[in-house]
Amino acid sequence: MSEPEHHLTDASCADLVLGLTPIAASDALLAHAERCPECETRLRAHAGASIRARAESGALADAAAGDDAVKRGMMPLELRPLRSRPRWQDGAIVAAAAAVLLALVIPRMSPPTRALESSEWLQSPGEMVRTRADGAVDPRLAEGFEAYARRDLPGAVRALRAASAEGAAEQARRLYLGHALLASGESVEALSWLASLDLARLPEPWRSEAEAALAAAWRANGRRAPMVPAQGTAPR
Amino acid sequence: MPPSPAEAPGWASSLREAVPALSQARGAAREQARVWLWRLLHASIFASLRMQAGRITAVSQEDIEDLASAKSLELLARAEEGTWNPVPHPLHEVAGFIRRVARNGLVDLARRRSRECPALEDEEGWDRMIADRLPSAPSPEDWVGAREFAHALEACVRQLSPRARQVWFLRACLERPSREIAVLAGVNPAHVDVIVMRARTALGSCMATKGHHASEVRPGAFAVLWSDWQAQQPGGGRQT
Repeated sequence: MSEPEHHLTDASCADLVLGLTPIAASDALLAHAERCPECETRLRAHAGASIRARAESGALADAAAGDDAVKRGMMPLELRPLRSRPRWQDGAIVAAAAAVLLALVIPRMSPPTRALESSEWLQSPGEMVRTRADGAVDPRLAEGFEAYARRDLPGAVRALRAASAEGAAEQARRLYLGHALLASGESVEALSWLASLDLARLPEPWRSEAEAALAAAWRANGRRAPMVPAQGTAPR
Repeated sequence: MPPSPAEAPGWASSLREAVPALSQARGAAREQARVWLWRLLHASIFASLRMQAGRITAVSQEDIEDLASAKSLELLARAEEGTWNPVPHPLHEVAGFIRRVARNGLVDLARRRSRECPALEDEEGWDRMIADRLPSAPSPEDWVGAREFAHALEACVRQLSPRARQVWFLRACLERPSREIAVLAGVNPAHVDVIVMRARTALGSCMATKGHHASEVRPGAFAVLWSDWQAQQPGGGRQT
């Protein structure tokens, strides 16, 4: 008498797509799936999801290349947008993503530059990546980030001053503009932009870098940084 | 009664190993450990979501994938911060925790949509809902024909270039979007459709020589093709 066949469960499908099922058991399950439309459909759903996970893990690796991006709070922003679906705009998961677009920048490892005395270069903004609102990003913002990444300070300042953005993108614009100004020796304006940042909203490592840049801007202006960074509206 | 450790899914055990492995890894190994933990979380949460989805709210495959990604990110971040550590817990508790994470995600989704489905009467409800949309099980004759078709298609697929095979499989079998396929295949998203079209043409010709006048993926063919495809992935689809 032959062994009774078992249907694939969601748990066994997860093990299958992860490669955790012993080969003999895997072969038996797949042979069953060939004959069972229900199990084949279930397996197909899991296989599809695993493909998405793999694709997103590529973004994970890219994002982490500059260092520990997840630890720095970056990951949620970059990974989500692999798919563009308007439905995202109706949920809480979405709330973050919608604000976003800005996951914007996947950090890349850039050669350390020590040309600046009072501060270091920020993480290279790298490439503008998958945003929820493709096409909605002000091209001058992308241009400014690109200029900053190639150390073109005048170009970065010019483009970032002219760019318009909202939410997280606006925070990024202010940070990079402030830093570019600081690196260009325009410390007064740099201080006004950096002081306008909502530091609590910045993910790491940008928060730490923004704090360091702000402190440098205060020093450059002959003042000591206050215990609590100033908040306010940046000049436009 | 919770399942015994022997009944716990393999991913529960792997999660318990992967979290400390990530915290101990350094350099390139850390990246590898992170990606592996990510895949584990995604697959286990996706499975837990599917198991419970129909009992909580009406969801699509995309909804479940979105939730799996969101919840996986949360847990990955917690693992990195050291605020989630499954090591001290027995396997059934690890699996139970993942199920609760999934359930909470579904409940939140239902609340957001403000239209919860009436609870199904039993735990098999979700399976029935899926089964209702499925074709009926094939007869033995159908199955023999399907098997022959599947193996002919498998042989034709093997004649494609590795890239074309990868892209065609992801689109034709798994219906993945171009952007996702582009990431995995390392091609421009716009090029994905071109590759798929050429692959379909080649498969159509190949299948015709074998006496089949169709090359779409029919029931029964997916498992054959997926098994083949999985074996060609780095590490045979297993952790590398």
